[in-house]
Amino acid sequence: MLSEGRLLNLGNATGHPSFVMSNSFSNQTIAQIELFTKNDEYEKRVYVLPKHLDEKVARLHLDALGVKLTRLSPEQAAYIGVPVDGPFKPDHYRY
Amino acid sequence: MTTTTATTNDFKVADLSLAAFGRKEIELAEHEMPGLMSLRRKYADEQPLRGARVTGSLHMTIQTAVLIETLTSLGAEVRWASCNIFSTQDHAAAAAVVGPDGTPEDPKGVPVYAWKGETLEEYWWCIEQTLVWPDGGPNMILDDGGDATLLVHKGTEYERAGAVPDPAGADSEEFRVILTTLQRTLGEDGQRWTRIGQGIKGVTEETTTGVHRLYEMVENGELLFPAINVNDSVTKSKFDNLYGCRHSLIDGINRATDVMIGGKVAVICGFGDVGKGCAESLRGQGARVIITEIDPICALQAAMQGYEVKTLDEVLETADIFITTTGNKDIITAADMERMKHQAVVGNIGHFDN
Ligand SMILES: NC(=O)c1ccc[n+]([C@@H]2O[C@H](COP(=O)([O-])OP(=O)(O)OC[C@H]3O[C@@H](n4cnc5c(N)ncnc54)[C@H](O)[C@@H]3O)[C@@H](O)[C@H]2O)c1
Repeated sequence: MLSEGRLLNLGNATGHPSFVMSNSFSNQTIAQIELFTKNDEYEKRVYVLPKHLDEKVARLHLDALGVKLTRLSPEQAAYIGVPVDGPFKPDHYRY
Repeated sequence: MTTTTATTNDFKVADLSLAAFGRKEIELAEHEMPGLMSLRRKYADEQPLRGARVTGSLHMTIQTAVLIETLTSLGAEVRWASCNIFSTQDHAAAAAVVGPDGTPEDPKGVPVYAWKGETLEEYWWCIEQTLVWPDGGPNMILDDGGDATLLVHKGTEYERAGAVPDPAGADSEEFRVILTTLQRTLGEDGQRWTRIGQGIKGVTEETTTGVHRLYEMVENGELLFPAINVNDSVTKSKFDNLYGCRHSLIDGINRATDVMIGGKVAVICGFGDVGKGCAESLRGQGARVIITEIDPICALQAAMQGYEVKTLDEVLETADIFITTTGNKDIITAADMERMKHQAVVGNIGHFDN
């Protein structure tokens, strides 16, 4: 039995690598800014971050991996019905 | 418990002399955390978190130290504890206390209450220390698993009732400790948690289990402040839970056992995001992976990916490695473990240990 049954990746090793945690923690930081600076827009409910912020977190990590993103032409964007700068998927899209 | 040093100032960690080693690793991690570093640059002038008093309850690791210093560089004040008794990296905790500009003799970082190997009593004491600020309370919580949020909510509930239920009647050891803690605080100050709860503008929650608790509180009309579910950002659950666990599961198994994974029969209970990452990780090492699931969609997904899907009962005697990823309880019981092979490896990567 590893780590007396508690999270073995954090008990026996050092958890997730930095790069993946940068994604999680960028979401945390943006969520803290949202809730703190726009507090009156939120009720006592549970929200998820809007998709453009999710896409922003991903964007912040592309350069480090040498990812080159293709850009939609306005005609293409109109054809599939999304803005040129995103969000690129409906909220119910599952990835 | 052999690790703690004195609480000279407003913090309690294992050993401040580990700070230099921690700082070295923080600097390496910063390079691998481009998202956080670009948020620091982007908001350097604006300081959007100026005035935020953030209580954080999240594994006190090197990566978390980079998060903490991102929050402070955006203007926040921070107090921190781990959300697990074993997950603290003591050099990370020391470096966060000392800060980039301090020394172990003159720490200039943030108050951290965390060390590797806390007892349950110490764990809940640490959470309490991060919620009680020298001059009041936090106005934000950053939670992982929902323990800081839970303490504020339970405390408020019992203060309203004017009494804490008898700890002897608690249904788990952990809840007994929570009740004992709250019994003491109710004796000290009958309005402490109510006041703290009223001062909080919101919580951002990191993981599946904590999010689940939050939705339950909304349903029961109990949630005291707004919450953002960070877990269900695509760039969180489809990355951290999946690729993070794909990396760190075998890291944990290897460091703990040094047993050859290739050729072994490994059972993964649960094929959600975490289960999918774990299955890929063990298959990549050449294990023969079997999945258990209760959800027909996830079970079908597992089968389509080429995994066998069986019940635990069928494989207890034959498998070599068992990993639970469900976040549920009673997945593998003591009676199950009696039926396993000698030296079968059993581990959990879901949030709780029961
Ligand atoms: N260790 C880590 O680093 C880490 C990282 C992220 C999340 N987590 C935790 O891992 C847990 C799972 O997270 P997730 O995002 O994969 O959740 P999820 O909901 O996507 O997956 C859980 C799966 O378990 C299945 N399940 C439930 N009861 C079961 C049973 N009795 N037998 C077999 N399968 C069962 C569910 O059907 C579901 O598919 C949570 O507790 C979460 O907080 C841990």
